[in-house]
Amino acid sequence: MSFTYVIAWLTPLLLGSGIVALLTGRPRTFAEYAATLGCGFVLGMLLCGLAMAPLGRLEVDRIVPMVAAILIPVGLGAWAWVLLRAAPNVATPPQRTHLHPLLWALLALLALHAWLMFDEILLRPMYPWDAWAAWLLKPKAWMLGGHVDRFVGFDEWLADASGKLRTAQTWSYPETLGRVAIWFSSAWGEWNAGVVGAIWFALWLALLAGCYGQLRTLRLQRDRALVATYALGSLPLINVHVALAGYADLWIATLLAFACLAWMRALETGERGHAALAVLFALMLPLVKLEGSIWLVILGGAMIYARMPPRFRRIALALAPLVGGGVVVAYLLRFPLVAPALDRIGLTADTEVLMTHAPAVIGAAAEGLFAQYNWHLFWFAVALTLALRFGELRASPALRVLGLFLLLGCGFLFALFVLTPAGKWAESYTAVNRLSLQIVPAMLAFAALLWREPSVAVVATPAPRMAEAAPTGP
Amino acid sequence: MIRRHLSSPFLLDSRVAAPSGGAQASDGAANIRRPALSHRARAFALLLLLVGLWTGLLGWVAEVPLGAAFQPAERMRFVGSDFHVVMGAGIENDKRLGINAVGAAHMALQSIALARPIDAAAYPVLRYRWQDFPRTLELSFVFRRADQPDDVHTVTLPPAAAHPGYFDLSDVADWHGRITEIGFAEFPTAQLVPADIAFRPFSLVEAELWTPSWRGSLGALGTDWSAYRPWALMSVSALGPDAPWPHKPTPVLLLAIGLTASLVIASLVLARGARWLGIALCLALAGGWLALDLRWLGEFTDRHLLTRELYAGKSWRERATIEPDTALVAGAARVRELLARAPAGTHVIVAAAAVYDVLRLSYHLLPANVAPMGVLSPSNANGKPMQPALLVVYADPDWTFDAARKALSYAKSEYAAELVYDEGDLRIFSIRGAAP
Repeated sequence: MSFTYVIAWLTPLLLGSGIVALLTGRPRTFAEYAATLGCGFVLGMLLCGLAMAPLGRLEVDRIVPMVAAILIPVGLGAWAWVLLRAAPNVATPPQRTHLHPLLWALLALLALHAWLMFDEILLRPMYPWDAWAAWLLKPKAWMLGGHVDRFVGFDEWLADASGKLRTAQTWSYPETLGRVAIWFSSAWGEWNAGVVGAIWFALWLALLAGCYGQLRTLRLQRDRALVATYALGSLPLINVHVALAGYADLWIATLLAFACLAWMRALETGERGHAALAVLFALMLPLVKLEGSIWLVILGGAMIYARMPPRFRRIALALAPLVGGGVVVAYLLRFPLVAPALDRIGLTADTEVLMTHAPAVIGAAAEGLFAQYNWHLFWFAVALTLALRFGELRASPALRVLGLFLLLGCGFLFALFVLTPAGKWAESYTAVNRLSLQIVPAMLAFAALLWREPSVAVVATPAPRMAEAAPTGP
Repeated sequence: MIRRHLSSPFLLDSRVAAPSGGAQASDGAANIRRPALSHRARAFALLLLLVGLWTGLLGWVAEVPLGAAFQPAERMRFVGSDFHVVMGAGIENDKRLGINAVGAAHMALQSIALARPIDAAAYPVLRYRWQDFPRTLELSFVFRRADQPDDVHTVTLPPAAAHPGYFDLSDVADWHGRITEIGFAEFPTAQLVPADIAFRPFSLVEAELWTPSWRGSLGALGTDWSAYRPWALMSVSALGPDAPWPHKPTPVLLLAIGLTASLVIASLVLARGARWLGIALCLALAGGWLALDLRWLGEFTDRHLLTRELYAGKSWRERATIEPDTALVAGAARVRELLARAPAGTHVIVAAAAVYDVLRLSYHLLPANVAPMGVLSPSNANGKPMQPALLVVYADPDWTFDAARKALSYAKSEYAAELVYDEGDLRIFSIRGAAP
């Protein structure tokens, strides 16, 4: 392990955590450190990848030395600002209580999951289809070729006489993950599937740390936050996406979860820094995977809705079904602009085809969620939580808008599979669970937050409206 | 110190239940009703109901035929040495058949012609036992029917570990009519294990065909739930369908339905309130989750053991050469030898009949400047400028070359080309460029 490789790990941690601390304040408790480092590391990794983009056809050997030389001072500066500007620690030291033996057992199980994933990553050459065919094809080409060459469309490549342009079936996919992979790979000095896969293991750890820390700072009791973290870390399909590293879905899932949790903190504390962090994570979504744009639109819409005054919100609620219905009618009547635009995402107006396939698609989706080995009893747990804690949901304006976002997200997935040819991927199980995965950590965080003990304010007063209860800025 | 751990960390707070007044009212009502039926009678009734429920559920998920006895009425037994080796090499060892080599295409096959054909519907359960069956191989059951004597039907079986495995043949559409021959085939697990290093010696101990029974159906269910499931390309998309044999309903469904129904019945019979039911459902869900997680950890460990068997103790450079698609890796090496004499950045276009081969070969050829055959589609290539390129055609007879005309044809397109290399499945052509 070289010094450059150590720097490659330290840079995103320092940069990302520095930015998170700058936005959300100096961490003081274990939970705050977990949130800052977990969220920060993911943010830092993506920023390191993005920082390479403007540098053109860079030699791979120069990536980390060049980029880290800029980003490390930025990270140090952010931390220095945070530490120098932070108010003296006036918080009472947390009361130390021992963990229940059952919780130790859960942590031991989590460690076993971690070991299996890590060893699998280190040993196995790149295995899953999209890893070598799409997401990690570019960094391997860059690493073995020695330069970060530009990937272009087929026409441009065929005509290129320089030999410096490359192409691939997936040439137009976002390159951020590929750049993250080349970041670590170039620091290692050679193409090594274990080195690249380790990024996904770090992502898993960061997801767990970030979720635990954010849930705790959102007032979820420690033991319950640990149970939620264990539940998240034990989900089989998430384990598989780590062990057989190389897919982008877990990155989308992590960004969505972190955006939602930061947004929750913004809604409940009214601090702008958390809102800015939520927006930052949301903006990363389209840079990772194409459907990230749709998640950004849905999340952005929910965020805007949450900031609206009650009067506008009523108007928005009244208009939403009209707009939605209008789009459907315009599409069915083959209205100019609307119909071609929806055709492009594969929507079909052939109701006969839809009706023929819909039952099979819905059946396959339900089987993936409720009857296969992918999610243990997660979706049953969500249903049970909603049934038992509906009062908490009604009492929390912030959770209501988060729930609205998740509902819209589920609606998007439903529409994607039932109304477009993507239904065939649901019927063959090839996409339905991977797309569900993208929303699972956010959904788990939402369900976990419904198990919070009621705060004094909430108990003492009747459920206030969102704008009154959770201002999003001073 | 001890008292601190007496309460569960997962204990629900007081707001779990329905409004407390309602809960108290229902508890009160229960207290009033209680004398009508003694506590012991309620418990006994509950026990009967739960036994009935779980028996019914197990029968449903195991797909036990209606009216089946617990034990099979008939068992047709074959010891390993009854089978003869069709492909590969084997030796009788006591009553076992030891397989110590594979045949063509890295495959081994053992079969037995039945003395008299049997009715498939009468024997829907296969029981099989092996010794030292390797994780590197995929196991199949093969059979021949009297109505199609020239066809061999194949179905993948859950790999057998040290214990006997059971398989429900009624899940196989082709298992009907009169069966004249049965057997087993073994070959390297596709797209996971390199064919040339997959084989390890193993022995066929015995195989049995059973008439319908609870024991056979439950055995098939247990084998489906617990058998080793190798990694598959499908694993990142769905766990369960990634196993290559017909599936039974999962324990996820059984636990969800069984636990919920059990607790609802218990709350009704024992006259418990909504609060009790809520707490019980949460605890049952936690227990069910843990049970499923332990099952998953076992399955994950099984999958990981193969990874360790293939790759542990080797350097990265050694591990990188152990790829499941040995033939494609060899093909890529041949192309690379040719490319070593070509200018840097030479365009290489990869064509094959299977999409997997196109993408995989492109990946193995890196850092060559590769592109998939899609670049040559009429919408891209026709009438547009194109630099000279090497076209690598792998196992695709649809590309035809007319040596006299030096013309390479595919679909409705034709390219001016020269044949550079031709051996086995691999052909390499040099395509001339085209001006705009």
